[in-house]
Amino acid sequence: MMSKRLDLITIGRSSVDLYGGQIGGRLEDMRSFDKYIGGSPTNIACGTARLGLKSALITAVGDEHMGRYIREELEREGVDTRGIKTDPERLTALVLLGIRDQEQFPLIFYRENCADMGLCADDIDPDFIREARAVVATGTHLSNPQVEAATIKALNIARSDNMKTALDM
Amino acid sequence: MICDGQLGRGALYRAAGTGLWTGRPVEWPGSYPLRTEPEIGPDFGGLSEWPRDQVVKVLCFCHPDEEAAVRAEQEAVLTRLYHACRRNRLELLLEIIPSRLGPVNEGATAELIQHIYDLGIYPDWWKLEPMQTDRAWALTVAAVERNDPNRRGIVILGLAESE
Repeated sequence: MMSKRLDLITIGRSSVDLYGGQIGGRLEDMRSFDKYIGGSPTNIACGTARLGLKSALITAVGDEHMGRYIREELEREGVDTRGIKTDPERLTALVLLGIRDQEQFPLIFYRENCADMGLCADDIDPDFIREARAVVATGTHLSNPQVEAATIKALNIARSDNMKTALDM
Repeated sequence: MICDGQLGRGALYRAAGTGLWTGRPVEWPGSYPLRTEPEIGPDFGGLSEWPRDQVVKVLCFCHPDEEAAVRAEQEAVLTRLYHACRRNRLELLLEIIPSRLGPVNEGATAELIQHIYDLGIYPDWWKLEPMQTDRAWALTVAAVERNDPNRRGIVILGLAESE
């Protein structure tokens, strides 16, 4: 098989996850929040890079501190960040969340008009998609027509090039 | 750059985000046995106020032949500090200077490094004295490679030497 530069490209949402630092309390009672990258395609890109695969992520972040944090953190983790679009019109998504007990994870999404939901079909570069062996799509980016168009375009390019495709629910 | 949070506070603020590697000392200057800066508190909880990109730098005078009680005391401080760094997701630089406490042989630094790893302490960075012989270098590098192939690096001490 022709050697490919990337093992996989994930596509979809990205966020800064602000986790309540205290376990077993209500979100109301958190005293501090720790900052992590989040969003399943972002996590998959990061996790696979840690496992030694060459991964890339297609998403969008705001042109601000939190967007830069996501990009820099992914670079530190060894993820290819060429597919991350910086959207000057929108803000990076945020999530506030906590671990209440074994079953409950209270969370608040701040995703109104967020940067990754501004992704559109034109942001998908066929040549970039073809650098990978697989494309992994996730649910959120099938939830509105614009991001769905971007996701379907990436999957179609992958399929027509006999690449593997996956949908992570 | 190695810079503290008191006299060097302005420089620390300016360095943030420039890409400059920044180590911030936490040892009480010259202390032996090792004591830490009151700034980080006796529980080292003050580290939670440090930005992610500042490396916790600690200098520990130690020697293969030092007194057992002193060694145990220093090891306890280093162990607590290492875990405090991990908990705060900060990198740790450990500086050891054996020659200040007595004569050293070629294996002294390597022996001390192995001992630190045996305690379960994996510094992200080492700061070491220049070695006098190739064999001392080889032993030192082997000790680090053998225990922690993922460490970030080794910084070699200038110790006020002229260039």
